[in-house]
Amino acid sequence: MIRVAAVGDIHLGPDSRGLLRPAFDTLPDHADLLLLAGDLTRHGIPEEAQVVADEVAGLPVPVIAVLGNHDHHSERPEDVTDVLRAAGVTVLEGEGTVVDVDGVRVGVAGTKGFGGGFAGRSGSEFGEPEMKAFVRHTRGLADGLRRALDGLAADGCAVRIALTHFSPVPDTLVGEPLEIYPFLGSYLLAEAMDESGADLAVHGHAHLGTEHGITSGGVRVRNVAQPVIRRAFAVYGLPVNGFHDSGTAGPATYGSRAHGSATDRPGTSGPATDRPATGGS
Amino acid sequence: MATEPDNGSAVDDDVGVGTDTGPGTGAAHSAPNTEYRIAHLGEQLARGDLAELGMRIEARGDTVHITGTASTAHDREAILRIVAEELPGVRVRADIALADVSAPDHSEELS
Repeated sequence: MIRVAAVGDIHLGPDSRGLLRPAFDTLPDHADLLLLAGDLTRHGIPEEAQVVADEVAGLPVPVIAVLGNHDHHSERPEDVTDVLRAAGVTVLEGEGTVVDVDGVRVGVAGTKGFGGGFAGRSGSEFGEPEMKAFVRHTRGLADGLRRALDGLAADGCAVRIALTHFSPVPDTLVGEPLEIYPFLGSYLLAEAMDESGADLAVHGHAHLGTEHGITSGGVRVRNVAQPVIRRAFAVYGLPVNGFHDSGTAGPATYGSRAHGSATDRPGTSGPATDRPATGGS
Repeated sequence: MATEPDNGSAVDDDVGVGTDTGPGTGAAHSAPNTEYRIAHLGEQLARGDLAELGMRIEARGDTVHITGTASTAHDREAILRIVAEELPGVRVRADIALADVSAPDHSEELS
């Protein structure tokens, strides 16, 4: 059993320094790794990222993160990423990483993701350049997630987890106003997960949403936005059904960069369109 | 924000509907349009220091209902202060919870 701790939307700033550390210090009792599902800061500035970094620095479990829309707000996602990486956090965008848990290769593929809506109720790459860019951005990030998941499969990961900020399914948005669902996620993310396969999908963004959901292909989805899970982090136990491998424990990276794409580099994920000012964040 | 002076009443505003009082035009409202004021409040919360986009703000009869979760008590006070500034004279009911930052006492086992 792999124990996965996850939380998103912690929105830390200087006045919340130290808020989560006491709970994070208990992580070795609960989990084998910690996933951070974006919106780690409020405005996406390095000073706020440093607060996040200090909260997780030196933890005895691997910490893997994606950024959220708040982390892009100041249009300095590279700086936010650098601060987090300096504290040992693996920050993913269109990439995967492998963690060795007692000889089991656990892969995490991550992207911020973006909006656009869900099957039958979604935007299209049509019309004004802004609209095309909106949908194209989501499609590019979903493609990056697919490549990253494929890379983890090729590497023989027994467990694969998809980590996003935006939601792949509407299930976990229940509680949010229906009208803003297209700003909360996209079916393109779920399609990538279903095509490549994943054992769990974790996202944030929808503060007023619901914890449990599932893709049409059967991938379990969990909304770990902190206001939803109502604790410092949630923990999910994943069975190991695949093959075991006691190979290298060092970090390995897969995905769009490994495959030579220049479209989905970490921290350069396009327009910083924010979601509407109602509901989650 | 609407520029008309608020009528100061917390109970007799026509929330989100408006009462036509313009001379023969049927277009002017006697009170600021609460629907737009709620939208402006949402913008204000998002753009300010809090970067708060997680509040649900809705008209319920003659009351504006605000629900959500704030990170800290300080943040909650700041949100309520902005609400008071943006919606003077409007009855507000706020159910803003504080984020629980305790470690979980259980896990979910996925089969």
